[in-house]
Amino acid sequence: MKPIQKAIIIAVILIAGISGGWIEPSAAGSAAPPSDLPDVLQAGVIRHLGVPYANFITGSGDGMDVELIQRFAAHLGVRYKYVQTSWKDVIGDLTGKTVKPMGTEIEIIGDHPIRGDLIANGFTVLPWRQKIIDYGTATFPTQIWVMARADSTLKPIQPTDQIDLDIAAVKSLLGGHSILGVANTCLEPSLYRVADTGAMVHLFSGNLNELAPVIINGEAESTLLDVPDALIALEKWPGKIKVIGPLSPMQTMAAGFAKQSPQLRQAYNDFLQQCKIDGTLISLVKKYYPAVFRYYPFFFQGSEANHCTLE
Amino acid sequence: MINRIKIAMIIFGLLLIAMIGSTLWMNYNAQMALRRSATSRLLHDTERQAVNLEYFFTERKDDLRDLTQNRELSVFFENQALGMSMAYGLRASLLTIAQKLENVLDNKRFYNDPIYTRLLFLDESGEVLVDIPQTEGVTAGNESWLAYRTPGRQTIEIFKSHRESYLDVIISAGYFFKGHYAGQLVAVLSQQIIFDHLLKPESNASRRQMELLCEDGSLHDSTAIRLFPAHLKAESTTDKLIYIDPETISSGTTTEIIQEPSLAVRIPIRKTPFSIVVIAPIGSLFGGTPPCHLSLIMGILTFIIIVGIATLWRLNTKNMVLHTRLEETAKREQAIKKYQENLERLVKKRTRDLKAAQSRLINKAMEAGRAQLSAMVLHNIGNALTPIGVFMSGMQENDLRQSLAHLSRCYAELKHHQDDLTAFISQDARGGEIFSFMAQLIDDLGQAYNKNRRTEKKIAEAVGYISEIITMQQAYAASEHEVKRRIDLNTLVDDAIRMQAGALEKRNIQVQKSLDANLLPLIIDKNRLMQVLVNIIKNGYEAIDQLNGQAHEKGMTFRTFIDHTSIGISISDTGIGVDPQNLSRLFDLGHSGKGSSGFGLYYCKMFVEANQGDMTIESDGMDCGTTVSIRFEKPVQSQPERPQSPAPPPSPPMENYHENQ
Repeated sequence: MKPIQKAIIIAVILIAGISGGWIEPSAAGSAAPPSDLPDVLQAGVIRHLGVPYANFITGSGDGMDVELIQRFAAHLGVRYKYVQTSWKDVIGDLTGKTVKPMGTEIEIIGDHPIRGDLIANGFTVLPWRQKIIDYGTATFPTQIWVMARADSTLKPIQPTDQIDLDIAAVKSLLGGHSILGVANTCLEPSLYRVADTGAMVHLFSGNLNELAPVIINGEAESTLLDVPDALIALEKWPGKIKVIGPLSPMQTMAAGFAKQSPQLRQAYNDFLQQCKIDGTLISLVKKYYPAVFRYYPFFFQGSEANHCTLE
Repeated sequence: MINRIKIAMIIFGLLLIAMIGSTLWMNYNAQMALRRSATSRLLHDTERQAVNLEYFFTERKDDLRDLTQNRELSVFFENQALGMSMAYGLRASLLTIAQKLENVLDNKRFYNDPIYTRLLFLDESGEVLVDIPQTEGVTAGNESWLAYRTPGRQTIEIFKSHRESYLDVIISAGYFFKGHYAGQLVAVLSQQIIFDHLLKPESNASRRQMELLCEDGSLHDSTAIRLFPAHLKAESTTDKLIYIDPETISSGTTTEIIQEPSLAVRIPIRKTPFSIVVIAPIGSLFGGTPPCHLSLIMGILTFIIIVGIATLWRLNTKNMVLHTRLEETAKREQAIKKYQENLERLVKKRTRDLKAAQSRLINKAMEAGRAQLSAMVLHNIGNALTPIGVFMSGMQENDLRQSLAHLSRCYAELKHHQDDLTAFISQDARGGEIFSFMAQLIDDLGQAYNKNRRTEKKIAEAVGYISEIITMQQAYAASEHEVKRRIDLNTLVDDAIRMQAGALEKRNIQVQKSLDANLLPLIIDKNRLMQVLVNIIKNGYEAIDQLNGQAHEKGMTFRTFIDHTSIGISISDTGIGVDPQNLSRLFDLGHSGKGSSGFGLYYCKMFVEANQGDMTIESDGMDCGTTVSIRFEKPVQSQPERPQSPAPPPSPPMENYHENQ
């Protein structure tokens, strides 16, 4: 087959695919406004924006949030579609706006194609994010921990009942030590004033999931990790990393919705409430984060009780 | 009895053969059972070894299964799914995986030897992610590992790999991450473990060779540590036993593991591409000879033994028969000997009895002869006394008492008339007659005297004759002991005739004698020869007596003779003769035609033959008379010796009588 013939055939297929709905217009990068529930229902598909992260989106087609949104899609009676994005683009893919966080504020710096209807990948509820998106009901607790390589001179703190004291204790240890963070994420060191501790802060430009391997590989002595990732790291590399202590109070993770999608968010919250009641949520948590109950036993008590009641 | 013994022996032989046959059969079965047992044991051992290997491989699969279930692998793929880079997250995962594999490599040991020589972790494309240890191993390059990927199967599989002719056993497990094929774990087993430990015979002395047979028919030679195409032929693929010959092994390939006809047991190791092959020389399994040979040899030996026994039995039987016969013969001989001894004793006894009887007979004969002689003597004496009696009667009749009475009366008359004697003689008539009477009386007395004188003479003659007879009787009175003397046969014949003269005379038998005057003296017991002659003469006149008054001439002829070789006598009579049929029996002891003892002629013949003589009887038949001949060897001519026998008595009157007649 000649190259020109081959090109023609591919072009025809692409055209036919687009016209036939094989390729979603959003996925193709359309500039349409964010979809609300009627749009989703009309489109018959819900687009799940996600960044592979911890066990929320494993990258291999499953994950706690993947399953949760799949169930939500089923609840709505629409088709589920996963749209992988990145931490840098995830807000833009939802809102159509490119934003730059500035502390707790944001700066919209441009438009961005909307590619999805909601974000669910262990998306930490952060103040600056709340400026641009709305969160559904929290599904998972989180916190920023300082993790160090097992052979690091950093020694874990002795926890107290007061989180502030623990955070202060951790910060007091970081001076002179290298620590990794990821910009524009919950692991942004500036959010926690890490630099003020005298630590040598390094922003990791790679995958957020690789922070633990990076310190394991010796690239840095410690890193910031949120709880889900820390739990995964501890589980993946037992004995190779250690938890020094918290660097933030407890945070939550929740699905993000465009502010133009209140119905969709409400539908999600309703669904999530139902999941809490019927135990679906707790079962998903147990499936993907069995260790979280040791650290945050009270976060899931409602769901647990409901679950138990339902059971 | 012998038949029963034979039947018993045959039954015993059959039972023996049956017993030996059953023993051979049991022995053959035992041998076959031993072979089956050895084969079964070999099979069992091989199966056990196969099970061990299967278990070993199962453990190895479990090792890989454990590895595939290991969190590190999952972490790698999770990290990969999370988008981690090889520079950081994936590298850490691979380092962890490598550490894990190293731990497996170090910790998985068998007999303190590492089980694995190489462990690899491949991605789905076959690219080597982890290779422990990092050495130039069994296969070089990534392309080689593609063959061990199992993307479509979640089973853990075992492969064989051979570079050049060296066998590597590879266990490969596909890794499926969340249901999708994601990578491959490959483990290379240590050859030392497989061939030095697992396939090592239990006993170093064992000649069994344990090898691995690959699916493609190549056999691993642990001696040469290489593979070669074996082409072990089995009758069917399910056959576990393969009889192999060194020549059936691949041509052109030399191997040290099969040098002689062997029995190979092939047991597939389940879930592996291998079969365990135990090659055992048939000789070491079952011995050098097949059981039929042993049974055959035992059968031949048994046959030889049976034949030997039969031969020995036969010989023994023959010996027994011979022995029995010998015993019987010995018994018979002993019996015969005993009989013989008894017989001898009996014969001796009988001989003694016979001798005694003979002696008695002889004595009787002698006594008879004596009696006969005595009878003859008495007869002769009687004959002599008869006239004496007559004479005495005549003398008695010649009664002188009457003459004496007459004489007395004459004397009384005369005395009475003594006074008147004259007157009386003259006057008286009576007186006158007295004288005449007395004259008569004197005449009578004279006659009587003469008669008495004659009578006395005759009596004197008769007494003399009697005296002669007695003298001859005394002369021929046989003594108990034979006394040979030189005798004159003619004299003896005369005496015999004389002795029988009375009988012969009584029968008016004419006696004719023809005596050869040139006879030589004969040395013999004359008394016994006399008895012989008397006996023959007696037989002769008795034969004549049997004529019963027939008008035959009664006569006996006595003839003596001498010729060149013999001297003898023949006595013929004109008696009744002898039936020719009885001629041969006349001399038998007890044979008698007269009702006598039958000893007479027997004794005569015995006596004659005892004196080197011969005695024959000839007769022309009944009424033809008989001739008895006696011949003695002619004595050597010598000076004639006068016989010491008493002088022959004077011829009896009867000879004269005969002659007179």
